[in-house]
Amino acid sequence: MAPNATGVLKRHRSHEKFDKKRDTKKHKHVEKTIVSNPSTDSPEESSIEAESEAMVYREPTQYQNLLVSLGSSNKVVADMNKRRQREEEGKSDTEEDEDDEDEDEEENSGSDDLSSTDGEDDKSQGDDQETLGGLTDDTQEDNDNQSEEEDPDDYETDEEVHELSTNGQSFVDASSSISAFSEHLSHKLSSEEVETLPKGKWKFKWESPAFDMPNCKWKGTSENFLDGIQSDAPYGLKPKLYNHWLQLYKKCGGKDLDSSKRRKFFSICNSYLDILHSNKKPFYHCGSDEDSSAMDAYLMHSLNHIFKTRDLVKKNESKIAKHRETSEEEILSDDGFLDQGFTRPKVLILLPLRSIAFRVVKRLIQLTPESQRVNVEHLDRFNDEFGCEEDTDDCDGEKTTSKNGNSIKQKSSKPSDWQALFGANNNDDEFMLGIKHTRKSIRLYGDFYSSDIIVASPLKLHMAIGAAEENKERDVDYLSSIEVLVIDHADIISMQNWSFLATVVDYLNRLPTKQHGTNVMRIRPLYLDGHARFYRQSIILSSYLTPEMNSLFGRHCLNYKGKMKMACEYKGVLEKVLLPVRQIYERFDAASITQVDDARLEYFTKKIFPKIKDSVQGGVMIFIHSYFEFVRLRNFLNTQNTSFCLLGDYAKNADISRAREQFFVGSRKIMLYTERAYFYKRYKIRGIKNLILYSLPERKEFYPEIMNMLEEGSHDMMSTALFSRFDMLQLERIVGSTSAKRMITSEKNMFAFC
Amino acid sequence: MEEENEVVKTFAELGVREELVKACERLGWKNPSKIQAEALPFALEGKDVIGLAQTGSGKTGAFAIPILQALLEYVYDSEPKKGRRPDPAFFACVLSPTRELAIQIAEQFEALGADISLRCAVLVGGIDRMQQTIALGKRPHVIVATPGRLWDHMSDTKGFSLKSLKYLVLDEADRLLNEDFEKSLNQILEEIPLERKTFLFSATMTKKVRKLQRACLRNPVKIEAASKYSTVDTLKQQYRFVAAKYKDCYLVYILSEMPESTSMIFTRTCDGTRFLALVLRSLGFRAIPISGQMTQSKRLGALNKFKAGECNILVCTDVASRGLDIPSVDVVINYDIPTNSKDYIHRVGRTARAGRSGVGISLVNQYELEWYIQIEKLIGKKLPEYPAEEDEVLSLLERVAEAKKLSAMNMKESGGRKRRGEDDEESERFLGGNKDRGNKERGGNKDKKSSKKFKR
Repeated sequence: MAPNATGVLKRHRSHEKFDKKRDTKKHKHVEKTIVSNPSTDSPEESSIEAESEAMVYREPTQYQNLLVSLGSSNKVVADMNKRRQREEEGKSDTEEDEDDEDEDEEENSGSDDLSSTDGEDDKSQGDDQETLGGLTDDTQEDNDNQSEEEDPDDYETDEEVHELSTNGQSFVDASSSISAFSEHLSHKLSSEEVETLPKGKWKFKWESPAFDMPNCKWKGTSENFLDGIQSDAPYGLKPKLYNHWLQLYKKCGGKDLDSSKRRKFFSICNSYLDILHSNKKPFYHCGSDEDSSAMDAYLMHSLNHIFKTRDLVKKNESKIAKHRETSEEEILSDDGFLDQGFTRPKVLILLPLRSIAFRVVKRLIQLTPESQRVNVEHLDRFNDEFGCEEDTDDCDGEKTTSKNGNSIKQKSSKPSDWQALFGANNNDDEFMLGIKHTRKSIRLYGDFYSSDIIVASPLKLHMAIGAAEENKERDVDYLSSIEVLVIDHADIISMQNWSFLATVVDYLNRLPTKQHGTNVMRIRPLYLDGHARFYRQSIILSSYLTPEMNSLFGRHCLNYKGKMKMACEYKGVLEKVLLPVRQIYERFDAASITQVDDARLEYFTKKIFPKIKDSVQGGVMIFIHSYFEFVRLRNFLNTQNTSFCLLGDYAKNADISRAREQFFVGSRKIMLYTERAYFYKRYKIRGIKNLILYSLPERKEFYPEIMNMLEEGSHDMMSTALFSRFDMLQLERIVGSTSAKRMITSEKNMFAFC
Repeated sequence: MEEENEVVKTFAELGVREELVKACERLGWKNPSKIQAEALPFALEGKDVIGLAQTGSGKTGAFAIPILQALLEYVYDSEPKKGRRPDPAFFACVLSPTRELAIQIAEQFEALGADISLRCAVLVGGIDRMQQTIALGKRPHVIVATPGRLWDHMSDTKGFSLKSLKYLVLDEADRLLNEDFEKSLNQILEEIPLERKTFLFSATMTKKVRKLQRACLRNPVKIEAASKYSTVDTLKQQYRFVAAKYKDCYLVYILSEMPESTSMIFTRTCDGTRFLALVLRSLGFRAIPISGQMTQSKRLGALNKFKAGECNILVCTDVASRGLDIPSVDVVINYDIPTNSKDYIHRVGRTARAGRSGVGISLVNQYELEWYIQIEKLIGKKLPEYPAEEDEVLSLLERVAEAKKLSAMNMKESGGRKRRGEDDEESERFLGGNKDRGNKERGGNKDKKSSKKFKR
């Protein structure tokens, strides 16, 4: 065991080393100050509230007078008046229903003094606008004020929009839409669940074909809900969100939201299960439709979650305001007021690169209904820091083809996916952004304790966690109450440093170290009992699956709701190898996954290296998946006095150029090249005659790309790939699932493809 | 000593509900103590109560039982709302001068309230505040707190307040007011509702306590267990007049007569604790000192040794023992007679707690006679003499003298009281010290006879 333990330590250290070096090269290094902003009740606030209430209270009288006077002189207005009265009756019924539900439901969380303050601001703005407006504006603003007077105002607005909708939805659907959200958070864990969940033992009981993916199917624990998925709008969405989404979809040329991929994936997200989607075709591989569909779905789900959180808190706030005298006692005796977490952020979206965060946040803003993004604060700063100069979008947030074409022309030597990720875009991997939604505006760059959503990179959060561990003054308590975690483009994160991501996820939903101004009497019991991690939904999206993703999903995502993940059959990428290369696959045996590294090195040193060490011709390229393997192999070659050069993760450009030249002219006979280096650099290597894949690439596209770099015209082109049965995931993506299974189980250990 | 003949009422006869009677039985409280018997009827009736009561007299039960009974009545006698009975948070608050005492009180509440799902939170200094905030979020029925930390939470923990408080207890009020809690206490009292029941317990009645009583309690019933300054009936108190030069012999003799008992020995000075502990250790006793010159952590370390039973003899000063949660001991020995008579009450209050029996012995030399007479006046009775054959005691003289000589040399080498660091070293020696105990050298009928006396 000792060598393995050492290896593990080495691996960890080398990864840290990698990122430290990269850190020094950053051009944009924005230090965000984490400001704790506890809010205390003050006489001034009370006074403001009183004034606001007084203003609101005066409105109906004036409004009614206006209606009466207008009604007496104008038939059209009188008709409007009648219609409004009819709607008011409808609202009354709605209100009664909602009251009944309130008594039964235990709902959502989110801390809200600041929200209350903003609410007051909104009311003030509304009043101001009214005094300045004309007849039409008056009517519109009066409508808004009317909504504000009612409790809860958001339901009123939604209901109204609802009735006006061409889809003619009934309130019953809106009622059922509450249930997924509130049902999830109101569940009380049994002691058996508390004991079982941390063990992370999952039995996947059902399978179901994945929508629009013939080679994939969903597998799930608990019960298969896909068949019974809501087929009637608004699928559990707040009506206002749904209608906005529908209009946006139509505007972009979409015809039927109901049957679209994004709607179906939204319904999967809305189940609140943990989700591992490991076959999402990313935008940088000409998969923009699929990518943006998934993105729309999880963003819509996130917005739905935080808006419902806010609705519940605001509803309770207004109840408390109505019964100010007895509110203290009500809060203590009524579980309905337990609506908050320790801290406000409820959604965390982890992304690898700023350019991707740019796409996500812009889309999030687009998906927010217009009335709730009248103002987007600090948008200019966001565009400066996350965008790039050439950026333009169509309505789906995708780059136009022409722009992409231009990029391709400029640097045609690198593949299109590299261009899309690293070409002209902001590819910084250190960022964290707080996003706060208020009644009418969105605030970017808010302090994290006032934000609803945090969009961050694993690296940045890992640094914040490290800082908090070193300095007690700092903390990462804004991670304590995350209820929806989204990890998108996990495949790119895998090319960064996966251990940082694992650390971040491990830090979610811990008890906070400080108080952050939350009313302690309104914190949900699930937080106080330390069970928040069992309620956190995790949505992981990747273009392929790795063992590390499986491990994270299985051991760090412990949602009581259960899990669903995607299982795929692959046809492989061998057909994309354009050159007539003789491709040999050799299987080595390893007793367990912890012994794979040693077994691989042993097989290489005994079986492969003897064939190449005395080669006169040179041109041997050894491709290595991980930096750790790279280091061991380099050390081995050093002991053999072998002529070789390196293209590792930390090589400098000058050294790289020299290495490539030496290899091409044959003065260095062997070159080592890592997958991560290839991912970030995509150097084409000339002069490869013999390719050895010491370990298989995770990214299947790299296999044909590297294979096609072999020197054409050489009559003895060949490649040798090493694999063990623990490399099934990589192997099946390259040679196809059917062949991979055969190769893993066959008595032979050598296979050839031509 | 002549025992008073009184009819002892049961908890049930005093008006305690059945659930709580069963809880008392489970805890081994067979009969109410004197303070409980006197206080419970009035407290259960809903009156404010002021009790003159020593540590160990059962006063915790005297306020915990009425609070729990009121809580039960509040829950079961109220109209259910929305099909649910009320589950009142912050129903009662107990203020305590020390964290150790607070923890002890909370443990008793939890033990009494286990069958009724009582939730109790402890708010004391030195413990992570966030953990306490989480405990408050779980809406405990009863809070036991030290004033400073309670005020921290009342002012800084958003959402927490005692506006719905029904019962306030000021336990050991004389100590609450003598330590640095006056400001916090005032702040707390200004915030909590006037409509509440209040219980105040104190071992002594001082001007400040009287003033606090007038400010906080409404028409309180005053309970005195026996006299103004009294000791509990299960406490056996004895004295022995001895010549100053023989006091050590008598101490060793007494300890030899009760080898496995837990004891506290009170001296007047810090050096006295160390010297005496050294003497006793060299004679084979498992003794450890606690004094004001030791750091708090050292004191707690020594106390933990004592609690764990590694040492059964604690040598201390009045000041050092203050604020420490020392479990009830079998014997309290006043090696030096306190100059303040009231300190005697506190000292012997360390034994015979909560209905258990205990012994207090005072060794009075020719210079301390006047102080001792003041004590007897205070407690209102003459104490019996501790029986001992002077010949047997003085037979220890040579060995004790030798031990004192060695210990004096030890004290010189360690530099006496000059530096605290060396004091710590001394403590380390005790903490890691020899566990062996010397064998008694005497036997025969006289030993048996003496032994019988104490077991009686």
